[in-house]
Amino acid sequence: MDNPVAVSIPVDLLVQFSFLVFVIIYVVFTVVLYYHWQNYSVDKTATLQTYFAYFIITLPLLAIMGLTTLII
Amino acid sequence: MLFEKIELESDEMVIKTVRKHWFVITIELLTIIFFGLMPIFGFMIILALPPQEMIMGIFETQTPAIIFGLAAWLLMSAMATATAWTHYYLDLWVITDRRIIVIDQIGFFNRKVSNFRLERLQDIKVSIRGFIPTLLNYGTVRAQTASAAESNFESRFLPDPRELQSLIQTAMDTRLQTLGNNVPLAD
Repeated sequence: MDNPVAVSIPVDLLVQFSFLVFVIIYVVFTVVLYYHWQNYSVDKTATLQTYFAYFIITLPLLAIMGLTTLII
Repeated sequence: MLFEKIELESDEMVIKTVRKHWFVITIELLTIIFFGLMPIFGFMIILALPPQEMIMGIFETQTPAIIFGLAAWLLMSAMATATAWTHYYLDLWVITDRRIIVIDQIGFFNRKVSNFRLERLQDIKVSIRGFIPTLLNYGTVRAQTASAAESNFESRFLPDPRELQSLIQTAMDTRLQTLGNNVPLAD
């Protein structure tokens, strides 16, 4: 019987790949979100407040992910 | 913006815009926040337990990877929050002096916009079922139109449905008075 082959993926490579996937998901999601608010909202103030809240929360998180990717 | 796309008639006036009750979005957001904070609760439980060599070793050697994972989880939670808020905010009823525009924002790629002229409206029903809906005064509004193709429409979790029913009824009566006997026939 053959021995099972153990595959080890380095943590840094895994994190870099995950970061890339997250950035792609984030960009696509942000474009879809922007399109919806730009086209279907009835209140410009609410739209701007939503953009502000969204970016003030998500951009620092994305920056932390980017920094940890560089550290690893 | 939405009203530019709907193209309201020249002297058409928006009477009211109605969204789902605040309780609906509050419950959704609290659920997302709870799941978003789950890893932090997990770390607190681990740190409260007696120190184990293996776990402490992982914490010491893989700190950046743990921070990365935590930030990724929080980012996903923030995106889920944005989704819930968008679906709540863009799902609405617009009541004008001519018609009711019902916008169902079911998902990002699933959106239904229906127009119902007030003179075609035949019946409007309201139901409030359950302890919390009764306490917070929200419920379901069902309306029937004379049009065969789209004879019914309904929305759940609307705030103060009785007041909404009365508002639509008044708008409908005013519209019928304005039109006099020139009410268009049903399709």
